[in-house]
Amino acid sequence: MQQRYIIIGGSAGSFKIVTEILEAIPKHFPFAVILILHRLKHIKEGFTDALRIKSLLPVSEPFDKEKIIPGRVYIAPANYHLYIEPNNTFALSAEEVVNHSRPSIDVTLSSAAFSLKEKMTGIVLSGANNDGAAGLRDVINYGGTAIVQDPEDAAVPTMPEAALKLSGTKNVLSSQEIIEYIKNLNFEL
Amino acid sequence: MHDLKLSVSEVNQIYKELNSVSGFDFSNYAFSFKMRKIILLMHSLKILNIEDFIFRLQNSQHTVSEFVKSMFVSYSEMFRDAEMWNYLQEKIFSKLLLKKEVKIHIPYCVTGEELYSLMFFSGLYKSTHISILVSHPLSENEELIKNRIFTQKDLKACQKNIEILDFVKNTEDVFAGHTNQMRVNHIYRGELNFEYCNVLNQQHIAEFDLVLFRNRLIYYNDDLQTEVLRKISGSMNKGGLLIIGEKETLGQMSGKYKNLKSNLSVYKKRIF
Repeated sequence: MQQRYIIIGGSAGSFKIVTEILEAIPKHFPFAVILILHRLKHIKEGFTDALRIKSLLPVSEPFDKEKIIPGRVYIAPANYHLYIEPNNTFALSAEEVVNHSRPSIDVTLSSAAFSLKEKMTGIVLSGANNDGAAGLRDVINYGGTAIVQDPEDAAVPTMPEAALKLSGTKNVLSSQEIIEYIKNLNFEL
Repeated sequence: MHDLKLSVSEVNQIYKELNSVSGFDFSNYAFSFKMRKIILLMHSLKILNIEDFIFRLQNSQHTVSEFVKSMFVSYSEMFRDAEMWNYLQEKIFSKLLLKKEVKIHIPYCVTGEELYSLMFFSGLYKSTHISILVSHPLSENEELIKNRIFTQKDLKACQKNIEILDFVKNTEDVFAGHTNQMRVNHIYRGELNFEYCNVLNQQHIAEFDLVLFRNRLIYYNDDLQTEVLRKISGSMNKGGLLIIGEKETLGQMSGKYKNLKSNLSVYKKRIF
């Protein structure tokens, strides 16, 4: 089975679906799940813990140069951008904010698009700005799979609408369909 | 712009050219960071292919300068990771800065936020026996660092940090001046020296009690990180303290240090 990476970007209104996704992922899920969620830079304690209790997989914030391991959930640390390197490791950055955000979904998706190509699925969920749109376009350009939460299903539709417009992906799924897609992903390959 | 697709060899080719025209070698920087810097610059210059970009590098000193500057990421805010500054103040500075002579090094200073954060805390002590050496990789930034002016935007960036600090509560406690023309209101009495220096070329041997080197290793690959840390380690006293970014690790050099607090990246050089 080919190694695969699920990278999910979310902002305002995405926390609920993110927790539902984590609850639905089975214990022996064979792929790495990487969450890029807009979060307050000063709230470090508690955020990851709140997601950890929802998941059967180990959940952590990666350190710089940490190897990406299948069957784990990674959450982009507050106040850092998160890159995916071609050598299957994370790299962090304290560069300027992008789309008013650090971590920025665009930064991660764009680097992952290059490094992982067809081995990745990028998903853009609910949110109130345009972050993730350019990154999702890169995902498609490099051969990855791009999914956008149906704006009508999203609590805040701005981010999925922007991603849809810029990437042109046809994969528009409701939150329940996204959960089903991820749960069944290993059977699709 | 974002449709621009680069290959690994093209990225390497561009940095080889940058090295040739600037003397700065970024070959051992993290790959994704390097690629993003190229794409952002090409976008701002409205250049669509690498041939044109390389031609620009060969013929525009301004472009070379902008490119190099972008590689030296400036610090994002004063008092970043306020919990770490609280720890330093309570557990480290309270002892270290009372010594007869203290030498501190900031090996990689671009715009001064880390320096002024340190000077603010050092200024809380009456000691005149503190010496801070500031190494900066961009010669043209020395005056900017020395005369650092802070704007409302800078204040906004660090406002939350200040609220978390144990020893100050308002930006007025830290900054003085008028809108967009503010300076750090510190009372630092120690010695302050500047040097234009690449970390790898520094010649300091076993002299520093504290090295503040946060969020720089993240831009390096494994090899460069080890090389830089080895150099820094050689510049520190036995038992000296090294502070790196909260999500950085010491990699191959971790055996040389003891972590003083698990969730903070404050390390003490081991005495073998």
